[in-house]
Amino acid sequence: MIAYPLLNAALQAPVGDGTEEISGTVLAARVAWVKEWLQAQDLTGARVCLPLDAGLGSLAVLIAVLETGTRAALIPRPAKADAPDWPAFCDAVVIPPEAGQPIKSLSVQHLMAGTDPAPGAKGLIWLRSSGTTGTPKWVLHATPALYANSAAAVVRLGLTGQDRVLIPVPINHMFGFGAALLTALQVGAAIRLAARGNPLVIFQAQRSFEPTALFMVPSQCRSVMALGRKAGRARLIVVAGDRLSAAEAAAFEADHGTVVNLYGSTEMGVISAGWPDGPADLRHLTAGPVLNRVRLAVEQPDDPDPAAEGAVPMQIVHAAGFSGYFDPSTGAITVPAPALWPTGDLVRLHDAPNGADPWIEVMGRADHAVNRDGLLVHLGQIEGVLARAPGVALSAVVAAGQSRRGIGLAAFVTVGRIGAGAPDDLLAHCRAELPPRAVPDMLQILAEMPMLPSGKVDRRKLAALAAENTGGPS
Amino acid sequence: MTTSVTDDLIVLIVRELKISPAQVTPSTPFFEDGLDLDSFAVVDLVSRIESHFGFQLADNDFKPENFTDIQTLGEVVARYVAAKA
Repeated sequence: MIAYPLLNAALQAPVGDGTEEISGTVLAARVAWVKEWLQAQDLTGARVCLPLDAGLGSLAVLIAVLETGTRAALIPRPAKADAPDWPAFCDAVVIPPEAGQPIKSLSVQHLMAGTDPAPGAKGLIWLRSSGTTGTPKWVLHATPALYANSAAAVVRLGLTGQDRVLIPVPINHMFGFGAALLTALQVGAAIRLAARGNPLVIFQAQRSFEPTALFMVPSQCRSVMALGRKAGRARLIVVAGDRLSAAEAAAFEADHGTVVNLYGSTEMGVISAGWPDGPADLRHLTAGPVLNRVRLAVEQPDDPDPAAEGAVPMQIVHAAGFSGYFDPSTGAITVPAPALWPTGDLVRLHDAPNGADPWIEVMGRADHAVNRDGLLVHLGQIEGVLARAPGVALSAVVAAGQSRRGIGLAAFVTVGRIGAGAPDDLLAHCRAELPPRAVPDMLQILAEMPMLPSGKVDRRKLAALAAENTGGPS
Repeated sequence: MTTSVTDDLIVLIVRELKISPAQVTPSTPFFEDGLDLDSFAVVDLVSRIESHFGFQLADNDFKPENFTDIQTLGEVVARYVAAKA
């Protein structure tokens, strides 16, 4: 059996999920049992689908799958057991026990997958990209590359076996999986998994687990800030996903611990992150310099567009990135990973204090920037301002038709059912916080934000809605 | 005492969440298969409860078990109301 060792048997750090906490030794025993089970079921050479949640059963099965080199597609555990959407290219679904259930209650469901194009292949992991710009894609990774990327992230974040790592983000996504879980496992840190979304769960985990490192998304930071309680300071709070504003990062740091922004993608894993001991202003504004094994390949134009205000398209060469996109119906790699990878974001580079690699300020997706009043407006910046308005739960801004300033901007928000502002109040908030060119031309409160299966906003639907409202094409 | 606090809590929730009283009973969960509160709604609701009943929830009581359903939270709130009386 090919081995991709992840757990160091000598490590004793506990792992928990809020329902139970077990020692590293007990975890290793459960992993060993799952490995034997996988072999007995003849699954180590198969393509399995793993529906994962924030429980220790999911953790043990995931580690066993990684260590046996079993090819696996990681997906979230379906909310409704009666309507699973298993990937068609998988031979079987291995369903881990739910939190609190014995490891031996895991089960397998065999699927009618097509021919395996690479029988006997080992050490491959499929992750589903968010599909921000269209339909979700299956992204193929080689396990050794994933480990190498996480090892580089360990160095950047300074994680050690003494750390206590709280992971309240899904472990089937790259941030929770590659940046948080694999790094914590590699150093043998204590780990607490927690389900995403509820600030009560995070607050309780902060108090009972006393984490030294937390991996969070901005909306969690905002809800924890809104809770207004302090639960001890962590050495490190790693934030990824959308962006916290520099002011929010500073405020969160004051109450909870050193904030480091991390930048990455499903394809490339961790690309950059701030040094935890770096200057606070750079840590809060940027996502740090690129990691070891990643080379920044940004080209500064000879004749820069003044509208861009220094923002340039981000490009990298990543020695430990993905292998390619994967067609789930044919089972083949459709697009091998190119050597030079445009991330699709616009970035500004800031000089490092010691003359080392520049720190990267991520402005937002290049296709989410529009020209207004002769300057670029980054839709993500407007969304961030709206997200901070009282009562706003979710916000999204799309280009819509034309306005006097250039391309029109339509904002959509959902509001908490308590303390919600009217559209005029929200636009007044935008006027107070943004340059005039970035104030949306229209704003609509939606009962529900249209979402993609990945959990990200469905911008195509919003563009269609905006076109309906303005009477023009989207 | 608990019953009347829970009833008060239901009135408050119906008003603040702008939902029909028919949707809410003491056994209605706050999260899945219930009111389906999102992370910000739960924060807002706690602050409305604190100002309505005139107390501040201790950090120890800020735990998911106390927010299983309205009855459970009603019992917690009743404890604070009784302590004040």
